[in-house]
Amino acid sequence: MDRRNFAAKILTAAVGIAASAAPMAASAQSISSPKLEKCYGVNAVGRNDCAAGTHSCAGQATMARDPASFVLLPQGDCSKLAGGSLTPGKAS
Amino acid sequence: MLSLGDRQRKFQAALLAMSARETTNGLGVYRNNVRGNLTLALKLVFPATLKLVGEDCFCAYAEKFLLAQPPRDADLHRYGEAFPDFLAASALAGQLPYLADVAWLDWGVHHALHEVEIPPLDPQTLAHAPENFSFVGHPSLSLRALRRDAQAIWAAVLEEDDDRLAAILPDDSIAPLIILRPRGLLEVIELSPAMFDLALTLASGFPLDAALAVIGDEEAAQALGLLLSYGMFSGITPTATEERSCLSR
Repeated sequence: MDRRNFAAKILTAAVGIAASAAPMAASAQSISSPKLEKCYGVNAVGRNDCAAGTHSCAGQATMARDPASFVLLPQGDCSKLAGGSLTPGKAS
Repeated sequence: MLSLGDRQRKFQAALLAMSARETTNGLGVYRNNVRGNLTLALKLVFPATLKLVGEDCFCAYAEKFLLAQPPRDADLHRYGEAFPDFLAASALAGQLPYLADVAWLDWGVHHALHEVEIPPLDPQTLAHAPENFSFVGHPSLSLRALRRDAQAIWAAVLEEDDDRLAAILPDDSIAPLIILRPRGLLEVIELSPAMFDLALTLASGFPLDAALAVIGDEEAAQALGLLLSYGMFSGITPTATEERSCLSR
């Protein structure tokens, strides 16, 4: 069979399969990974390089614990950290 | 005369190359801050890798890495993509063969969570696709064929579950994974080897008819349908006919 026609056939079939598979794709096919959550406000100064501009060196970073930034932590750890929050806050 | 860019690159190189004992011109504080910041940025991107090898070991390899491959982007969220392969080529890989794959899982999840959020390609729109096109991989997508034990180790280390970690048996068979976040939720999905080959070829920009050569004709429609349903692509781009003809022959 001509490859071009074959590709077009496969594409049509695939679109049909995707339409029927869509609702289950998110849950059924994912394999277990740890429950991770975004933890806002605990990012360390490393993410706010000196180049960021508001301060001359990292030791004086004013943007440490920036509530609009997050790091990824195993579920439950976030609330143990001072300043940690599961929702983003206003950037200071 | 040096351009500003050249001057800055030379300064960066000199700063990174300084030893701890050099205190020339009061530059030591900058040297330490740069190294400290970059090491900390890597620690935040690679939480499982850090827990797995410990603080001292991680910092030693982070330092080697940042000297060899300093960041090219001012946004430190984008720093570290090359760290897993750097670890794979290091002496650590001999003792911890799964380490680079664990680091890649750290990177893939970090990347998927921080990359721009755009909706995946709606398969229905393909009915109006141009005759020649290739798919565009979703920005959050990472693909890698890992050791099968790496994901269990990564999960157990992150959750600090020592009992589960102790029960994991080494398994160096291949588990092809994709990590992506097409609809706001993080997905870590294992693919069959054939599906993975198709995904990799399509994500590399090969047009569909050329990419279909890597998978059996019977599996092709099912595999492509599933990839579409996972939200692996964010769109399509028309392919020039000349480019196509040299790839598909």
